[in-house]
Amino acid sequence: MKTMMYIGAALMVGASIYGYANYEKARKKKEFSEMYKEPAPVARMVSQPEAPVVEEKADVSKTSKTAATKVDLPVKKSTAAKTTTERKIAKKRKIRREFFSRGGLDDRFIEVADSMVKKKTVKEL
Amino acid sequence: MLFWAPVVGFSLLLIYNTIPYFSFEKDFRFISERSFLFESLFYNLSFYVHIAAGAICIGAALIQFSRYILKKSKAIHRISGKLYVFVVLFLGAPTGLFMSFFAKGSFWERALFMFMACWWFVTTLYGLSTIRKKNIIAHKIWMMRSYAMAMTAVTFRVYHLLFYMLGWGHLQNYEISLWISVIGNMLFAEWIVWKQSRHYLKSFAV
Repeated sequence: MKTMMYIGAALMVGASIYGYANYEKARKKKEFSEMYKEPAPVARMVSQPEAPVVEEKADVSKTSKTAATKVDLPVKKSTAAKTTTERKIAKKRKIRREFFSRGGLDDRFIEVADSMVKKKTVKEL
Repeated sequence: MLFWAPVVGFSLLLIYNTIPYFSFEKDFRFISERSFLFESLFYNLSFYVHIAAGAICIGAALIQFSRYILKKSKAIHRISGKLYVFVVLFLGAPTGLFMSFFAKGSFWERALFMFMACWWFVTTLYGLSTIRKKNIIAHKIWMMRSYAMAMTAVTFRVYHLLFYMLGWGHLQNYEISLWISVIGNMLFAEWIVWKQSRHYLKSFAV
């Protein structure tokens, strides 16, 4: 019993000393400090259709004086479109067996967003 | 049954998902994220030993808490218990402690991983020493605490997935899932201990 405890304790002390020494070495390196940085926000920006809102507003203000009522409608439509795309993204977040891990799940989300953008562009064309 | 069905299901899923890592390919998200660390031979070794140890512990622990197996054959309980203790004390906890220095998150998440490794080691050691002294009640309590630490691997993944489905950002999700899984599991273990000790103390009442 005692020998087991001593061996285990020695391993724990060894692991902490060696871990700390390695950490001190690694933290000075740039690769280590940038290891866990997230590139996530880019994909989210791409998936949101923001451009049409500006165009619609400009067109309506040019055409008539009763713009106040007409302006609201296209904006509402575009915001509705935004929420539906967000819902689609949320729906696309399906659970897969491989997701049950400590690995990051953000990249898969980016993939989903990218595939949505691709589909949209194909439809537009 | 209501408690054990998801525990067994998620534990088996974790073990199943661990198997592909032993193809030793590097295209897993966990590994590619830490490619800098995986250049080190010692970190590589620690990682593979740790995941194998984790899978063995979680698998062995499923047998340990079965009253049916304990009644049918104490030998199975003893053998898998020895395996669990050996794997935790000599493989799982030390490699976990080494890897905790390089864990994702802030200083506090790293400290939490260190605490987990140390607490896992201590509770398992107490579980062993109490059964050596034939103190079954204390053995049960310490092994419950040890198992609660082992199960943080499972509960973390459940919370991680749940928050992912809710649309949380990855790092925020990772950190909160980690804290909830560790503190939640510890509290849950203490709640079970308190509940069982109440029954035990009641048995002394006139």
